[in-house]
Amino acid sequence: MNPRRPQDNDGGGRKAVLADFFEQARDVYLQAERAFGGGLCRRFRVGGRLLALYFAGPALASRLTPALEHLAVPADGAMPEFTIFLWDSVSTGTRMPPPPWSARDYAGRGEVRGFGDDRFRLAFHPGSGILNMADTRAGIALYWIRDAGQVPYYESGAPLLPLLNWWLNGLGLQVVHAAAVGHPSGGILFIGKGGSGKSTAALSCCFRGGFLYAGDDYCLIEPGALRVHSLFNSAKLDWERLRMSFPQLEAAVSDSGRLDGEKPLVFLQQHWPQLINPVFPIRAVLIPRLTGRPPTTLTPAKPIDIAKALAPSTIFQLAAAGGDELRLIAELVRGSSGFFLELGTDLDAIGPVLSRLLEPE
Amino acid sequence: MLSMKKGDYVRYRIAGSKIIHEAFEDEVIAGNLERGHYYSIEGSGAEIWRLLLAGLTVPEMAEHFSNHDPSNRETIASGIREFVDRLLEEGLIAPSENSEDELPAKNLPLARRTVFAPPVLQKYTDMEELLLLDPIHEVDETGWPNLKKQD
Repeated sequence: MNPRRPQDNDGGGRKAVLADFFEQARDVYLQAERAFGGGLCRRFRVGGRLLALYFAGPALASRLTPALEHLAVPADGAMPEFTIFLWDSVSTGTRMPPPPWSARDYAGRGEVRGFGDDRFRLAFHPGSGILNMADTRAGIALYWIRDAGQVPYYESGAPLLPLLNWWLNGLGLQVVHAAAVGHPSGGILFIGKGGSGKSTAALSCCFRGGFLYAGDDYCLIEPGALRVHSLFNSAKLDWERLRMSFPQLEAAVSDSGRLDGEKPLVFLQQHWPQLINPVFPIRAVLIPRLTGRPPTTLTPAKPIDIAKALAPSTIFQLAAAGGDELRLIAELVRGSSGFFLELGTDLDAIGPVLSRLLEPE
Repeated sequence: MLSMKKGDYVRYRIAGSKIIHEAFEDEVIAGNLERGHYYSIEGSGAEIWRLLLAGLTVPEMAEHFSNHDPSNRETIASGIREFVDRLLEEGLIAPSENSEDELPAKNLPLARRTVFAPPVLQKYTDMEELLLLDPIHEVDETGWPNLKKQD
């Protein structure tokens, strides 16, 4: 039996144990950093806020930063608002302390039953082996995986989601499962669960319709200002759709997106940086529906339709997300216009329909 | 006079922090984060939801709706009871532990829809799979799960 493992129903004890484990894990990061003679620091401006990532070594950095590269800023001495320390055990030769929970404590969304509270947030995904922990009061977080070589392609495309959500939600910014395209004067969110056509609509607008890109799967909304911020410059589609509709992307598919059974992943910042627009006002929220017919049309959607298409697919995949996330999403829903986008097979026709939607009345 | 049924004096509350909800115009979205289910509540359901959370019992809610048609009070009460039972089955609400002490909010503003329309609880289960736990094949000597070996 692990002597540090608290007894069931010992909420206060678990809180102290998690705080203790956080400190132990942070010490391991420092060991890992020393093994490389000092960490690698990268800074990014996310939703207008300064984020610092400290990598103990290069192995993880090369897998996690390409999706954020369009938000990179130089180190200028400014104090970051949130700092994440990242390392893996294999490349740094360090050993993670045993978890203070047991295998039966793992729950859906990466949650660990009985561990985590308003201050210390925790998620461990057994499928990826990625541990995310944050001390939200101190504004620091830890990110660990046993072997950087096992970072899944979807994590490379959309890294650090739980940590970004825990940090930014408290600042009135919400990570959402949505695509976003537009112009500096205004743009569109595409919402809906996986396979609903978000990526196809977003990439059609950018590569065939003259729109700029803020994201094809996740982005950050600021409901108070009705704005969207780009989170990741990655795009992913299945091979068939990519080859048929966006052949110019094929040569740009990243190494991690070329593995068998995985969707091809493209980092637009590496090849089409001029297509990226990191922030713009939200003028409409659209729910794509694949029709199988050529034309693309719009029909009005009710607020409840928007809420159903956006809130569950966001909240059910973010660890420890709940009422706070739903409140920010609801604020966006109440302040925006919603439509169903009856998505046609003629991809060249999508951009003009949406351009007309954005024209000033 | 409304004929009383078992449970008519019970007041209700949201069944814990794993239940989330928001109202939009005359509809409500609710989610059960433990089960991976979400719901839309329509018809008079959104108003019943609001009244339930304000602490009203079934007869008090029936009174609220039947102001326009007192002759229909039994039918309305029956519809509300059925709806409340569904909310209980789905784990969205629970009896308030201090139901005898909690008084309903006074002078609740009348909603726009006070004419009773059958409440609808539409249930969606398509997010259940997001809550499924990746299988843990084995843990290493320090207690961390090993990832599945690639073939």
